[in-house]
Amino acid sequence: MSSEARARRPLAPRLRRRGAAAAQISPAALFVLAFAVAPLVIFLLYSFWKVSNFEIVSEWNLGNYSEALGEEVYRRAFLNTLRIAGSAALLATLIAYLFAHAMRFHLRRWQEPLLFCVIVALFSGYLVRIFAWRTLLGEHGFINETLLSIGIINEPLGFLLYNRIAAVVVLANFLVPLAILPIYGVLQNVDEREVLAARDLGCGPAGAFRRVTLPLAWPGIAAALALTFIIAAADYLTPTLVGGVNGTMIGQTIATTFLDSFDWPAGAAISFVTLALILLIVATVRLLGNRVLR
Amino acid sequence: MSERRWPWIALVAVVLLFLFIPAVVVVLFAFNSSDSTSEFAGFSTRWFSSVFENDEYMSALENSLTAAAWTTAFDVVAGVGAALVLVRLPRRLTTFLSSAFLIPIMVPGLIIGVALLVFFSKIELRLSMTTVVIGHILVTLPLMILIVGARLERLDPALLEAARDLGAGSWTAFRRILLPMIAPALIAGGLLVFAFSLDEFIITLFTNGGTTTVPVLIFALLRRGLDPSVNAIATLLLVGTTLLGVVAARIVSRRGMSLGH
Repeated sequence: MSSEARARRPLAPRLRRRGAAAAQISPAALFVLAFAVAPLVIFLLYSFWKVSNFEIVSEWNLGNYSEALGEEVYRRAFLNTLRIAGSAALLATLIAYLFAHAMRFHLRRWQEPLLFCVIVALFSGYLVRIFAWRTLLGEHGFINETLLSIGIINEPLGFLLYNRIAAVVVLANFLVPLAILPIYGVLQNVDEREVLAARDLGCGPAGAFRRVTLPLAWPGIAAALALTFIIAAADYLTPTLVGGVNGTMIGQTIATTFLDSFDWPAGAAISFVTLALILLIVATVRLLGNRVLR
Repeated sequence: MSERRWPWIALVAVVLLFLFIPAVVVVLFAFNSSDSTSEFAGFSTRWFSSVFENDEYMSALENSLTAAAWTTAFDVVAGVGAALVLVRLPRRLTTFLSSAFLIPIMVPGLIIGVALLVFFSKIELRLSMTTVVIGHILVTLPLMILIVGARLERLDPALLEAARDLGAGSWTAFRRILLPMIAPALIAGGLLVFAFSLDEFIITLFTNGGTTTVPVLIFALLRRGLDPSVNAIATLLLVGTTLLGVVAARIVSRRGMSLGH
């Protein structure tokens, strides 16, 4: 075999392999490019266009953004979204932490079945769960009818549904299983001997938690907070089905812009402002947590 | 510490009650013999018969199953292909490409949904089963790539090299060695994708154009007012997704982990 042939030999399969790799990855890559990247880019372009004479024209302007940021209606919707999604994310993460903590440190024998329950809950339907709360909390719902028949109340309680608190509870309900998984993941890496060592060195239970467990669990808690906040802040279903008038959120504004009206450029701008706000808040929370818990 | 376990048991019990109450309520009232949604009068399956006799329900069910089947088929093929390449690339490139593949699930579903609506109208693609399936593939493909990729990373590359050294072509090596080893991940991923597709609501709301799926139909019915048969169709959806999810989780946690080496 000549030295030339020997040098060339590995090259041919490598080239062929590169071709094969391109063929293998291209269905997924082209799909994401065509139906995620391209639509989002076009959507971004739309946010700088405008509607005139019932037609979308590509006249570049920032009017949609100044409207989305400036107008009272939108500002109120953003503020309400922040309040509801923030409370729901905090509530869900708190419940999830307590549950994961109990599962990891106090009920170790039941870890497997409990984790199984969490996974079942994760799959018990998004829409179905939200609608079930209407059956539970509605004017003629289960809770009201039960209280009426026992005689505790004389009239159905109207405040159970269609308000901000109802929206927070319902959101937290389907976010808790999602928040448990990342927190449980990091708690599994917390070594109990480190906690015990802190106690031996004179920390109280609260001190040991604050200085050992919490910093170790923080990445999981931050992930849970981010995940739940992102989902809650852009939710459409919960505010629509159980939120009522003071439970209005920006997701409804976006959805109705596209379902009922044709001012798509305005809707696009509101969507991007929403995305930017969500990312800003998630980044801020993470930074603050990192600084405080180091 | 055992005497201090009771508060934790109580806490876990309350959280589980909170998590499962909605599902229990839906299933309970699906079997209610009266049409009240507040009082359980007795056991009956009349709402299920009304679901199976209702054309609107049955066509939504058919649409949902069709969309889930197409989504799963595409995801299996494209997901395996992408995962095979991702695990072989240099680390930095893998990180970049993986985050590109994650875009559809990092951006909230509502925004993906409205962006797709705008995009389809721009390229003049009529909303149909095709557009529904496109939306479902977008949000499920990352999951498939993650599950298959995690399995591939734990495989010993020496096994494939041994097959090649013994004269197997790349197709034979894939079919005889690699495919059997990633099969559990493929099945689990496929079941999960099928479940997610059945349950997908927010993107489908904007991309269906009349191809109503079960969640979209339930939403429309809720706006019309409470009809007890909604509980029955919701129960079918609930049981379907839960079974798929549980079986997939079992496969991933049992076989997926232990066969790694």
